[in-house]
Amino acid sequence: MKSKTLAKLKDYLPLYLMMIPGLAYLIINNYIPMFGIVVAFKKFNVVDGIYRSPWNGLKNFEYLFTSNDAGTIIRNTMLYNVAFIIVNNVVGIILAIMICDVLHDSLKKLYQSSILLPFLVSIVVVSYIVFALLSHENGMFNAILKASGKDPAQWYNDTTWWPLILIVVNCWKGVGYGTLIYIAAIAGIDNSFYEAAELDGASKLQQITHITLPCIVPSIITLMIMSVGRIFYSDFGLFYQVPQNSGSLYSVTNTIDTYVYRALIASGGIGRSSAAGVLQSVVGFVLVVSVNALVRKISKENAIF
Amino acid sequence: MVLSKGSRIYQIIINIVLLLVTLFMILPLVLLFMSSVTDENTLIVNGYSFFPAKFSLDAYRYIMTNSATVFRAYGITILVTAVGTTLSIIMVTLMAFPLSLRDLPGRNVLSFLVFFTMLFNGGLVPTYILWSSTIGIKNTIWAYILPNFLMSAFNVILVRTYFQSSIPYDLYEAAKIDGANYPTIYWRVVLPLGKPIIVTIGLFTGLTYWNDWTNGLYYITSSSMLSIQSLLNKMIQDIQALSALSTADSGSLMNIPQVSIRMAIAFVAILPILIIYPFLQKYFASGIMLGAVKG
Amino acid sequence: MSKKILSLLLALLFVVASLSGCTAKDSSSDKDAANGEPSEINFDEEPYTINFLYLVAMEGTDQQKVNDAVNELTLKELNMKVNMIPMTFGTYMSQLPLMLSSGEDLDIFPAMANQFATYIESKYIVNCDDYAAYTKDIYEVLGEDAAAGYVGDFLVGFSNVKERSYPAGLVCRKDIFEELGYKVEDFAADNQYGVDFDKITELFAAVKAKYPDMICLDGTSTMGIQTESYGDNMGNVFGYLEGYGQTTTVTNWFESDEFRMFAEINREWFTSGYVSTDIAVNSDSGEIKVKAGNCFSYITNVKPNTDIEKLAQTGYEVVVVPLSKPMKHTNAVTADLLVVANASKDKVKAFQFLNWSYKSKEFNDLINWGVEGLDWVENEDGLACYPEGVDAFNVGYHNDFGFIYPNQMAGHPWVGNPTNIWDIYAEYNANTAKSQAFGFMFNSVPVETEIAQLNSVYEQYYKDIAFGVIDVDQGLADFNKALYDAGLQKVIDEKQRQLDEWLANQK
Repeated sequence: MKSKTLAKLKDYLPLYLMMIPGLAYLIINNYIPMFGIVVAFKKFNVVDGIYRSPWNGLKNFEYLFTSNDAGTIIRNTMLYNVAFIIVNNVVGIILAIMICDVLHDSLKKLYQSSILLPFLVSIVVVSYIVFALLSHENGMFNAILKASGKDPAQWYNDTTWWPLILIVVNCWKGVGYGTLIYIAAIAGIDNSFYEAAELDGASKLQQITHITLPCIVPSIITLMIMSVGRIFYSDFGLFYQVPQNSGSLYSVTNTIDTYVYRALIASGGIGRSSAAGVLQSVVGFVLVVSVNALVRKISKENAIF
Repeated sequence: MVLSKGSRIYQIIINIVLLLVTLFMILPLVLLFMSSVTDENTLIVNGYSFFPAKFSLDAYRYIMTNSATVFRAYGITILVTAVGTTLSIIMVTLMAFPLSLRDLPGRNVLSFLVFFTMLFNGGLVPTYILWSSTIGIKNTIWAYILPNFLMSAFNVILVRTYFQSSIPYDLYEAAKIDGANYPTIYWRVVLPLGKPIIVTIGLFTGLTYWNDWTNGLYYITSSSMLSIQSLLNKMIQDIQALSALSTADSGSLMNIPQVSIRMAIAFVAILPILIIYPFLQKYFASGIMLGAVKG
Repeated sequence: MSKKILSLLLALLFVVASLSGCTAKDSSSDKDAANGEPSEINFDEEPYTINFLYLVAMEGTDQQKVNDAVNELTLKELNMKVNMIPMTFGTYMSQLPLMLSSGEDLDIFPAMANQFATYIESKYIVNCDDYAAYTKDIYEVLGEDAAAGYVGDFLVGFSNVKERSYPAGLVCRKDIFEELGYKVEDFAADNQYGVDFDKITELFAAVKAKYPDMICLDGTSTMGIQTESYGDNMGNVFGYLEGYGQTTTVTNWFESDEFRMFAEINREWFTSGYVSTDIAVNSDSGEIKVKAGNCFSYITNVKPNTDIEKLAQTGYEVVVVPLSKPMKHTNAVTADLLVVANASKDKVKAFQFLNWSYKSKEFNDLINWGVEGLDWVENEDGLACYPEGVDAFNVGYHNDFGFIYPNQMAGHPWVGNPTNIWDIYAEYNANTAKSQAFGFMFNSVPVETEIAQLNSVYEQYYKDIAFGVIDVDQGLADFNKALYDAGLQKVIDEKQRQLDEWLANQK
C-alpha cells in the first residue's frame, strides 16, 4: 500500500514541478501585492506605510453606497454585463460555426482576421469613430437623416439609442476574441462524429445542435463563469469616452468604474479607490463561487474548481 | 469535392453573411485611415468622411520627423511581444496541463488559486512597489514583459478546459502503457494536440503585449526605452500640452495637425500587425488545422 | 474543499507577509533641524543630490546638457547636485501618485490644488511653516502670496511667480470682428461684469447674418464654467463667495440669479444656432476650432498678453472682449504649488534649494529655455530667442512653462512679448480686487464622502446647463436637487465654519 502511494507520488511529482514557474509568478505578481487590499480599510499615510497606517473601518466605502444613483449605477453595470455576455457569446458561436464551415481557404482567412481587427484599436480611437457617426454638427447619421428629409437627432443628449449603441460597439470590438476561442474548440472536435452524422443523413442544423454545440459546451461554460466574475466591472473607456462623458446620458452610461472616476476626480486617496476594487472583487467572487457550485451539481467536469 | 445542392446554397449564404460581417468590421477602420490622411482643417470643419475633400500627409510627416525613435520603439515592441508571448505560452501550458488531469491530487485547490487571481488584485500601488522597488525592473525591457501579462489566469483556465475536453484521456493511458512519463506526454501528446488553443491564446497574448501602453506608463521613465505604444501615447500628450500652453513665438508648432494625428497614430500602431498578419495567418491556420487531424 | 482552500491560502499569506515590507522612511527626526538657525553652506561636505521633479512641454534631446549645466551652477552656489526628473502632464498624472505612495526618492515637485487634502492626509508632503527660516528669499519674492498656501496651519508649498487673476474673456477673430465694425470698447458696460452680454448676442447675430455657415462660439468653456472668474470658490465649486468674493457668506452659486442668467444667455445662443451643437460633448479646444477657420470665437481665461499667445495658437489675429473683472483669490495663487516631499532625505537642503531657485536667474532660464547659446540666445532687446538655424521643431530643449517654474520673472521673457512684460504683469497683479477670503483654503477632509458624490453630480449637469444644451428651468431644478441630495448643505456649512474660524484668526 505504502509503496503504491509512493510510486503514485513519484509519478505525479513532475506534474507539480511543471507548475512551479506559474505558481511562483502568481505569488509574486498577484498574491503578494494582494495584501494591498487592506489599504481599503485604512486611513493611509506614507510615513506609516500600508500596514501600520491606522484602521478606518468601512469609511472608505461610504461614498459608494450613499450616492442616490447607487441603484442606477449597479443596475447599469450588471445589466450591460449580462447583455454583453449573451450577445458576444451568441454572435461569437454563430460566427465561429460559419467560419469553420467555409470551404474556400483564403476567404476563411479573410473572415478570421477581419473579426479580430477591431480588437487592435484602442477604445479612445473607437470613441472618435463613434463621434464621426453621431456628431450633431456633421456626423454621418445626421447627414443621412437630413438627406432623407428628417430632423437631425441630438444623439449625445438622447438616451434612447445608447444601450443599443454600447452593445453594438462592445460586440464590434470584442466579438473576435470569443469567436477565435470557439473556432479552436470546434477545430478540436473529432471529425468522425460529422462523418457518421452525414452517413445517417443528418441535416446541417442537426449536426450543429447535436455535435458542434454539445462539444463546445465546456468552452462556453468556462467563458461564462469567467465573465460572471467580472460582472461588477465595466470597461471605463466604453462608458466614459464613447458617450463623450455626456451628462444627459448618465442614466444609461453611468457604471461603477465611471462613477468612481468622477467621484475621485478631484481628490484621490488610494484608500477610497481601492475600496471600489474590493467591492467589485467581492461581488464577483460570491457570484462565481455560486455559479461554479451550481455547475458542479449539474456536470462536475465542467466546473472550474 | 462535389458539393450537394444543399451544401452549395449553405456555402453561398454563410459567405454572404460573413462578407457583410467583414465589411462591418473593416469599414470603421477604413474611416479611421481616411481621416488620418485628411487635411486637419477640413476634418474639423467638415467632419470625418470616407471621401475627404482635401488630402494631407502632415500627420504622418509629423510622426516621422523623428523616425529613428519610432523605429527603435517598434524594435522594442517586437522584442517584447516575441519574448513575452513565448514565455507566456510555455508557462500557461505547463500550468494548464497538470490542472487538466482529473486525478491530480490538489487539482481543485490549485485551480482555485489560479482563478482567484482573476477576481482579486491588490491594486496598482502594491504591485508597483513590488515590481519597481523590490524587484527593480524599472526602465528595463522586463518592465513591459513581467507585470500582469506573463501568465494570465484567464488563458490558463481556457487552455485547461481545452486539454480536458478535446484530448481523449485514453491517449494518456496508452502513452503511459508505452512507458511515457508526464513530461514526455506533455511534449509528445499535449502540445501537438493542443495546437488550436495554444495558437489562439498565443495570438491573444501577442496582441496584448503589442497593444499595451500601461506598463510603459508606470515603469518606464527613460525615453530611450519607450515601446511604440508608449511613444505614440506620449506623442499625443505632448502635442496637446504644446498646443494648449505654448505662448508667444511658437508659431511653427501651429502646423502640427492635432486632430488627424490621433488617427494617424492609431494607424501607425497597428500597421505592422496589418502587414505581418497575413503571413502569420498561414501559420495560425495550419496550427488550428493540425490539431483537428486526429481520432 | 473550501476548508482546504482556506488553510492553504492562509499558509501562503503568512509566508508572503513576512516578505512584503512596504514602508516609507520615518522622517520625524529632521524636524529638530528645522528649528535651528539657517546654517551657512558647507562646501566641504559631500554634495547632497536634490531630486527635482518638474513639468516640461516635451522631453528634449538636450535634457542631460541642461542637467549638467544646472549641476555646475548648484555645486558652485549651493554645494548640491540636482537630479532633474522631467515629466509631461500625462506622465505626471499617472506616475506621481505611484512615486508618492511608494515613498520613492523625491525632494521637490509641483502639486495641484485639488490634491492638497489628500497629500496632507497621506503625509506625502512637508509643512513648509516648519522650515520658514530657510525660505526667506521666497517670502521676499512672493510677498503676501507666500502665505496663501495654508490649509489650516499647514503651509502646503509656494506659488510660482505669474499673473494672479484669470478673468473670463471672449477671444474673437479680429478680421471678422473689425469687418463688422466692432470695437472692444463697444461691449463695455457699467455693471458688475464690465460687459454688456446683450451686445455679445448682437455680435453673434451679426456674424451669423454675414457668414451663415460659421460657428459663432465653440470650445470648452463659457461663463457658467468659469467659476473662478466671478467669485471665490475656496478650493471647490461647492460653496461659493459670490460677487468677486466681496462677501463672507458661503452660498450655492448654482442657485444664484447670476448662474441662472449665464445659463439663459447660453441657452439663447444655443437655440439661435450661434453655438456648435457639439459644444458640450466635443473636447477639442477653442484654439483648434478657430484655427480650422470655421469658428469665430471661444471663451477662456485671459491675461495681459493673451492676444499674443492666441495668435501663436490659432494663427489668427484676435481681439479679447473681457467677460468679467479681474479678481484675486487664494486659488489663483495656489492652483499649483512647489512642495517638498516627505520622502526627502534632507529637508533642510531641499528648502535651501527651493529658496535659491526663486532667486537664481540662470536656473530659471535653464529649466525653461535650456542651455544658453545652444537652445536660446539673448537678442538685442534682452529677450530670449532661438539661435541661428534652430526652430521649434529641432530645438533640443524648450518648455515655455514659466507659469509653473519657481520664478519666471527672474529669467528672460521669450521674443514676441513686450520687453517690459514683467512690469505689465506686476502692475496687473497690483490692480486686481482681492477676495475677502484671500489666504483661506478649504480643507475638504471632513466632508470627503460628500465631495466625492458632489463631484459626480457636478460632472453630470454642469456642461449641459452652462452651455444651454438643455432647458434651463428643468436643468437647474434637477441639478440643485441632486446637489442637496448629495450633501451640499453639509459642505457649505463646513466651509462657512472653517471660513469664520479663519476670519476670526485674521483679526
